[in-house]
Amino acid sequence: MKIQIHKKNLFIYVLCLTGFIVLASFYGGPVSFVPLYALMLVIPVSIAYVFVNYHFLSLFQEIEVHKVSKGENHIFRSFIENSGILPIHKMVLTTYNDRCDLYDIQNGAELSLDSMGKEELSSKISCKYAGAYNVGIEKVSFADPFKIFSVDINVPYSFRAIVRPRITDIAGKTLDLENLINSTGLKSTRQFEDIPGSDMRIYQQGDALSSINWKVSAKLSDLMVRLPDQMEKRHVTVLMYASNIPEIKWDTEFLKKRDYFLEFAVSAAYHFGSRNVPVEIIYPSGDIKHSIVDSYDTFLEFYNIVADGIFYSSEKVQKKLLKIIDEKRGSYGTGTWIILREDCDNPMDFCSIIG
Amino acid sequence: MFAFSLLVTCLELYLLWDKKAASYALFTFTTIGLFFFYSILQHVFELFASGKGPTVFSLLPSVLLFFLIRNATDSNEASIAVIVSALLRLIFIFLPNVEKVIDYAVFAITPLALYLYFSYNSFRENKLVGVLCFVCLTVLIMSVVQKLFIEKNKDVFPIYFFIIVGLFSAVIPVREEPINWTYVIEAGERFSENIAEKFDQVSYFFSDIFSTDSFSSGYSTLGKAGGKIASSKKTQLILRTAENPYFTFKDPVTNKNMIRRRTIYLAGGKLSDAEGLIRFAHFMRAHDADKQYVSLFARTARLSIEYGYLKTGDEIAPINSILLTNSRDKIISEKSMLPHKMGYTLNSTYLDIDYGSPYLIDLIKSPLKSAAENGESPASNGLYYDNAMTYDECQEYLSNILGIDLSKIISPKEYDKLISTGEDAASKALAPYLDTTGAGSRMQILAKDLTSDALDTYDKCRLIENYLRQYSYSTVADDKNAGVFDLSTTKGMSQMADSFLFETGRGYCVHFASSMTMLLRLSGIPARIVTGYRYVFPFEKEESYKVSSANAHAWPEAYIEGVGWIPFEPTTVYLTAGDRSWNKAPVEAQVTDYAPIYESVPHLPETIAGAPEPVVKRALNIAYVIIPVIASILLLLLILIFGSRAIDKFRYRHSTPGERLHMDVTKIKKSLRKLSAEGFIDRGLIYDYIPLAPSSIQDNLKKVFAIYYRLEYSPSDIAITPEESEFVKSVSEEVLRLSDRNS
Repeated sequence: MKIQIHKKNLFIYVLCLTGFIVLASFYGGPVSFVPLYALMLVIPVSIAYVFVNYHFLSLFQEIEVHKVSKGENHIFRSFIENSGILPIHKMVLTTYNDRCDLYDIQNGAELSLDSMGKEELSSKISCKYAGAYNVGIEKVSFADPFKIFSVDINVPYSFRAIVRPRITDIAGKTLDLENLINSTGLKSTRQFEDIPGSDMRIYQQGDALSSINWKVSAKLSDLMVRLPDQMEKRHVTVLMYASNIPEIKWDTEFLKKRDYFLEFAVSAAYHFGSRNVPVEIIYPSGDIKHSIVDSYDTFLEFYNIVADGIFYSSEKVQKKLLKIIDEKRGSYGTGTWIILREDCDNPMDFCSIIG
Repeated sequence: MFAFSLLVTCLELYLLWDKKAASYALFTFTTIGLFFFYSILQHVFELFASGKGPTVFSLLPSVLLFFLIRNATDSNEASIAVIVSALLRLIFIFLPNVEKVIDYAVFAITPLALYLYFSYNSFRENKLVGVLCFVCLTVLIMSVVQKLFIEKNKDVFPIYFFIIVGLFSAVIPVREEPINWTYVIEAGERFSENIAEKFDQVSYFFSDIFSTDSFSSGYSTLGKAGGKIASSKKTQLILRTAENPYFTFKDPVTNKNMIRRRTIYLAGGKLSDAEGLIRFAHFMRAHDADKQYVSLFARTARLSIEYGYLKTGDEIAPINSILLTNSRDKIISEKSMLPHKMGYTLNSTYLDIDYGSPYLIDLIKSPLKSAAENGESPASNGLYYDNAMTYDECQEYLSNILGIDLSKIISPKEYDKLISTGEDAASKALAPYLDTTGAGSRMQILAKDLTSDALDTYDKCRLIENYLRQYSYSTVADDKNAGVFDLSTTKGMSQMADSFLFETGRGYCVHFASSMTMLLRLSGIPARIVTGYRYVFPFEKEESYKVSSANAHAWPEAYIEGVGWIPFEPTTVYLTAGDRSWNKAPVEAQVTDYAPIYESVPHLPETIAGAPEPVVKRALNIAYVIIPVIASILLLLLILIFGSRAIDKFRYRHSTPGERLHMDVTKIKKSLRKLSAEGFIDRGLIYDYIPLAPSSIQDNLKKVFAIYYRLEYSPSDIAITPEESEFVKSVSEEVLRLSDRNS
């Protein structure tokens, strides 16, 4: 809640009040005391009126889809209801215009509601950054009749949008990812080596004749085929070291950083996923989570959770993640580690490659 | 609210013309009540009919009311109220742009109301009406100002807000007197006094270092020379007493219990007055005054006096002190060689005497009277010591009447020496107090003129006192010789008195005291000036009482033989002894010889012959009025309901088929709205109504609406067929039936 005092009107009010105090100091009776009482009551009654208005105000916000994409237009609706008997006069709506564009609801739009009145506002919305954050109407502002002060109050129910990052090639351009991929390393659960391995099974229709192990087939009197080993590439790990800032302190600067952070991670994941090259992504989602992206499907899984899935359940988790980074920094030969740091002042420090 | 303020202001104007108009409040509330009644009636009627009909019908009961009230009571006011309220209602209904008119009319009514209030003392007939009128005007003014100046005539803040403010303003009691800032000023003074006290403490202690005489205060530097004085408010004495600072008495005139603050006179440079006590005892004994009688005007009291910002060697104690002690022992000298320091404390036991008590005055005057009756000179009434009590007798008597232990005050040896004082020695001792050096002839003539008619010494004193109390009090003495008079000499006193009495005519306590002293001496009465403090206790009991330098005072004392020194108060701004009397009276009524002038009881006015007999007014029988009015309202309702239906039917019958279709569709829409749940919003699309109807008639409704659209938007030559007209009518009736059944 933020209270703003309008000095000019306050000065006029104090002047009038002083005038009536002077009048009441010389003359008694209703002619001086009634206006004096009324003037003295204007501010307390205004404060009470504002709180009654706010108490009976219901404001619901929604977007037509569950998850939105950054930069795309969606339909936003806000349903505002005054369930009190006192009308609401010129309530000012403040929108999150730093993080979303509401085309038909202007920031600072005024809205009056009768007693038991309702109003539905709808507009196209476009979210500017990836991540999970509140969009739509941020605050409502009430003022006294003489505009001596105004009170900004956060809306009772904020709408939290989950905005997926755009899939771009910024990671590919920044890192020379092609050079990080070779034929050794992590085994894929889906991709297999071209050469048959040691595991065997009974022949099934469609198996290549070249895969039949004739010696074993002769011994077992059944046609046995050799299975290919699971593909092993060089072990590439992307570690997303997100910043741990409470949501209440999220500002535009933070959202911009988060947007770039997510877009970079998604870009890297897409790079690997689209080439069917496995990559392990370590990121905080309450606790530390490990995801392997090695195909378009696994990429989509990661893509769907990354927008609102990056957070720490406690500082302990953050320390644990930091410990992993420190450990990897001191050891070589266990694969390639791409470490993304969300909270860094120097863009050069955003991404570092170990291995 | 506008109607109320307009009505009250107009009534006030009318009252200027006809001041006999009565039942002002009743008339106002009746009119406004009826105004509301007509408004409510109109809204009720509008539920059944539209247009101007309900408005006209809502005012019809006023005609019936008028005649009923006129027949039921002798008072014209109630019937006038009926008419006025109806007229007010008519104005509000038929006035074009009524809201705008009210906005600007408020700015006309408010100055008019203010003008009436200040110029003709209007709005005071009935407090409630006055308050409500100004509450209404304030609410309207606030609302209009908000609308015109804040919202620029675009969007008005809800009037409810201003009504809430108005309601609170009406509930808070309105004072008839202006705001009393005394408490605030007192708090400010206390604050500034605290700061000043800190400075005083610093200056007080530094005064010892730099100069021993530079510290100024009321007592030590009181302008005895008669110049301009500027008294400060430094605390010079702190008094402590266990007694109440006030006394209660029953006012003999109003017979009500009253409370009065005590006044104490503290004299400087005096010792305990054992002689005065002995004289008082003999004076009482000579009149056979017992304990009960003495208690009417004398009592023993105790007081502790602490010195504050005061540097004097004088002992300052209440007049008639009989025992003075400090922290160590009894005080034997009236003046110390070195000035007393802050914190020096005196304990005083003193005789608190009510010199204004008629019982004491009676005693003072009675021996003189008896002497006069015996053919003796009024001045030589003899000394009481001629028939003096022994020490033991006196001790017993004082113990009996005042509870005083004489042995603590005076030894038998000292007592014997005192009572053995002869008349010559006594006269010799009083001689300095009769010195009139420097007194001019005009002062002598004045003294003679003033006292020529007096019977005794006391009367002379009172006459002089009363004469001087006509002079003006001023701390700025307009005297060219101001500041040069030396009051320690008789000549100085005479000069000051002469200047004050015959030239300046204004002054402060020393001028009054010196003048009275000189006039008394010129009248043959021994007199002296006493300087000290005069302090009036507050109403509330406190731990200590601060006597400031502003309380410094000088007053005259006259010596009345046989009685002793009696203080008087000629200074105009202070109360005389009579005005601050305890007003004690014996339980059993006792007539005193001293009889102040009483006003004679006024005769009862003669009964006015031919006065008209009081008229017994007929009371208004409420039932006699209410029942016919309710009946008339019900009748009007019936007329409205059936009348509007009959009119609709008539119009329907005489309309063209196209007009009938419009009427039917309007009826269908109205009925469907009734059928629907709340929240239906008419977007102007007739097909929105179809889902509101039961599914059984939805197809028929579609057909009806199709006909309606066809007729509305097609070329005018396509007319509705009689079959279609009949069909539409049947559907309309069916929907109406369903709606009625549902409701």
